[in-house]
Amino acid sequence: MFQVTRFTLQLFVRGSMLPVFTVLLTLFTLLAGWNQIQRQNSRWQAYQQATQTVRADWENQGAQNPHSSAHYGHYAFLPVSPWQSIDPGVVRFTGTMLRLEGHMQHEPVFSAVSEQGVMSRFPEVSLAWMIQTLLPLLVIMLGFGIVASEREQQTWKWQVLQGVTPKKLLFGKGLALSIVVQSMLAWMVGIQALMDGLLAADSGGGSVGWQFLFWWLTQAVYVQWFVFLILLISSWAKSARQALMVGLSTWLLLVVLLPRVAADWSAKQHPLPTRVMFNRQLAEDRKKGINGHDPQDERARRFEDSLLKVYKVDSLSQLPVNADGLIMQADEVYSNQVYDQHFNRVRQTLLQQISWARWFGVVSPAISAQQLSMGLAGTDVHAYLQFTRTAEDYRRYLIEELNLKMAYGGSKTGDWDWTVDASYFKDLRDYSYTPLTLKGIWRAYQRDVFLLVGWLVILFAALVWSGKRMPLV
Amino acid sequence: MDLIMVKAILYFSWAECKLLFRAKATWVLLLVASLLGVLALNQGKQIYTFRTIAADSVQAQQERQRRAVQTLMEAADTTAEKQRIEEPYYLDFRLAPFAIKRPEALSAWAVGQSDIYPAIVSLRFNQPFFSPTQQEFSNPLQLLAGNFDVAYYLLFLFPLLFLALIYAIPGQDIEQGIYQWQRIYYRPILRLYALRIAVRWVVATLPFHLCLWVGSTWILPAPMASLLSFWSISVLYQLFWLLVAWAVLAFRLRTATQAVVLVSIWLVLLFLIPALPQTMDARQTDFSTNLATTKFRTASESIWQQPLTLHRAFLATRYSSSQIARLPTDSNQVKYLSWGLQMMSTEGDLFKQVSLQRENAAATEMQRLWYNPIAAFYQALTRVAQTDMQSQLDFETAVFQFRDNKAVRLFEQEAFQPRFRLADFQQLPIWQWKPTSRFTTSTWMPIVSWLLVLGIIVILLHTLPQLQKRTDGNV
Repeated sequence: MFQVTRFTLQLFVRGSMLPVFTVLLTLFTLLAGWNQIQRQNSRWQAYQQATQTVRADWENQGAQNPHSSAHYGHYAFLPVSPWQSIDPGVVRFTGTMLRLEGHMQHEPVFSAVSEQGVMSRFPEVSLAWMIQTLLPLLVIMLGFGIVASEREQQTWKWQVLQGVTPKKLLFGKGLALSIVVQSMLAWMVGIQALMDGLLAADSGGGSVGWQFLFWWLTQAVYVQWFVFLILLISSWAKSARQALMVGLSTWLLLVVLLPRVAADWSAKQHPLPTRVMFNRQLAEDRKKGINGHDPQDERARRFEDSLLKVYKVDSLSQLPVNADGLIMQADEVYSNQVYDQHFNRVRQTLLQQISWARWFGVVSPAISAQQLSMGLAGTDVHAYLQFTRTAEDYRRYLIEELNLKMAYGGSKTGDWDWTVDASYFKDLRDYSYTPLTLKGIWRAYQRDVFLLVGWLVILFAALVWSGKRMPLV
Repeated sequence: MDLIMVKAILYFSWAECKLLFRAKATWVLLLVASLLGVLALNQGKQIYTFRTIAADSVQAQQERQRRAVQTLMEAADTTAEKQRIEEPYYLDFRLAPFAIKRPEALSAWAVGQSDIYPAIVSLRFNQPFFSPTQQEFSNPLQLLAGNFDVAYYLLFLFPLLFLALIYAIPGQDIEQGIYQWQRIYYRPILRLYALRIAVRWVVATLPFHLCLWVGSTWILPAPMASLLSFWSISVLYQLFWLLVAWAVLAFRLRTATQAVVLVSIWLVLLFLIPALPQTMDARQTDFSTNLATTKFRTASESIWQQPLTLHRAFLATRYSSSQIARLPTDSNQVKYLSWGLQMMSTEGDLFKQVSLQRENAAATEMQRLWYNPIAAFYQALTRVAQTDMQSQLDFETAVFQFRDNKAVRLFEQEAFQPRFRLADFQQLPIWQWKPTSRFTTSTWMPIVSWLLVLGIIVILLHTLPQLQKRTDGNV
């Protein structure tokens, strides 16, 4: 078998296709790598500048009433993943800035793509795109004739007559194609890692950790699946031409068409609400209460009564604390429940859509590979939702601190002109993003891992079966 | 062209059709293409219907609210609610007006950028224009994958159907030895093969045109001019691929080589060239608008904190002394009026900045169409469908102006005439907007130029004696 492998490798090296593909892939990897690294560095600088600017604005707001400060608000920016240059994922399409203020929970706004024209809707060339879209095509072009041509030229039969079993021939050739393709993949990943280390060190690039190695492994499994697929097609095709056409059609269906159909289909199954409807229902629930029978004024009155009872006084002015701060915090806690209910519904719909789309991985491993790639690069929808979740947690911390300062900081009820010292705002901690851990990513994507590995095992089994039964002529 | 020539063309075309339809694969391909076309139409139609329903429901709700406010205004009672409704701020809150960008009929065929931008925007005065609460929810994964609409079907899938029908011409004849034999009978042999490709091109375009004209009855009322423009761009795009195929034909490649070359051209035109502008924009920061809006928040705070004398001084630059004398005595109301007007001016500056940024992006994109043929066609399709960035910019500019005019009026009303009577209410402007077509010569020029250049290349390739001699070696 290894002799067949060696001989096939020699044919690959002597042929014109492999050197041409290697040069092309190297050039495109350099171009894509440079492009994405510049983008990552640029976003990193912008992110640093933006976070520093808003923090400086926050700290230098001077002596201020805490509630005015809550209205003044703060901003959180979508952080840059250190592996964004490898797979930019959905980053261009998500909002990048989130306003954090009292009474209101917002969604991130200003996606990069909203400031670009229609050209931004074409795919972005990155290492992940090249591996997931271009490399399978090259695998098909390298492998379509690997068995079919030999059968067409009658040399396959001749080799079997020499005593080599078809299974050994198929696996020997398959091993040679695998070595070539996996070497290409390693070469591309190596170039990108080197460029990241040299050019993107400041923005966190080039950090080769477990996450990166897993990313490489998943992409290697995906590419290997295509190697098995083209071997299978070539071993059953009547001619090399037929193998090429079947291979190209399969590529088109699995890599180009299905991811789009999957996204559309899932959106149809679980439609998101329109913004107008969402805002209307939200306002209604805030005003009338979650159950529709608990108006805002009633809630405030009940809370005031409870305060008077606790402090054993007759009026709010007699309270030793500022009741406004406590009432606002109570309203904030209630509003958070309303927001949680509505925003969680939107998030659930989003996750259901993604889950539906990922089930298409049963038909196309390209979908599983794409999802895993984005997940491990930290540029997927889960990373985006993690950002919105952590930013919202921070907003709640910030507003609670400000409301409690208003209540217990030394002011009296109704004293809206009361201010706290400028240094107080510096003591409040800043927002920091906690990315998903590898364990968290595994939980989100284990189905895709099983689908990808499952597909590989199925095709390997099909190859073993094919080695025994495929036609000699 | 004499009669014999015409007869020969018709004879060969008929023979090619018979040859083509004898193969089962042709029927399968056409069936699959038609099904995908129907799927694309259905997908676009659903998006269009969803948006139309959203627009209609907001419109209906607005009309209900307007009627309710009008009834209340007309009532002669003096209830608390009647008194409240006469306050401009509360009146605007009750009316909750929206600007609606109704989806154009052809947006069902080319969704373009319309899934990124808000189509329903609040017109309430005293509410920030750059409010995050106006952005529509969307699944980033779906935005990344893109919409499976007619434009996608035309741009990405039609070329593949066409290439699948012609990749073996003339390779198959060369491999079977028929080519040499035919050359004895037909000297302008390339013309014969060009005719064969043209016949297959007509067949490949059939599912698309069938879907398009069936679809046009499905999404009516669409203006005939827009329909014709969309259809013309589609035909030109298909012609573009016919010219590409004719250019490749001149090299007389073997079947497998030609298939690889054609797929590579498809990849380069649809993926690699469109990715180039993104490489050029790599250094562009994504946070410029964001930072500008954070400055808006800072401005809001600092304007509010201005001393009263500064507020009065600002108002003195805007109003006559007699009007200033009528200002309310409450200092907070003076601050509120000055703050509102100053904020609108700051907001106007920010809007100009954002608009300029988008206009620059649109202008840069137009320049790049000269080396990006597919984007030139896509740009033209989205422009006809009014789903490009320029169309959204026109809408937002109109919204901003409308809201600005209304806000100035209501702010003043609140300051100088706190009560809002029926006559004032009836004079309130109602949002009405009709998009203007931006489908101009500049949209056509890159497309026509590309076709001309490609046409010249084809003529040169088919007539250059040196190339003919060289490619004879392939045969």
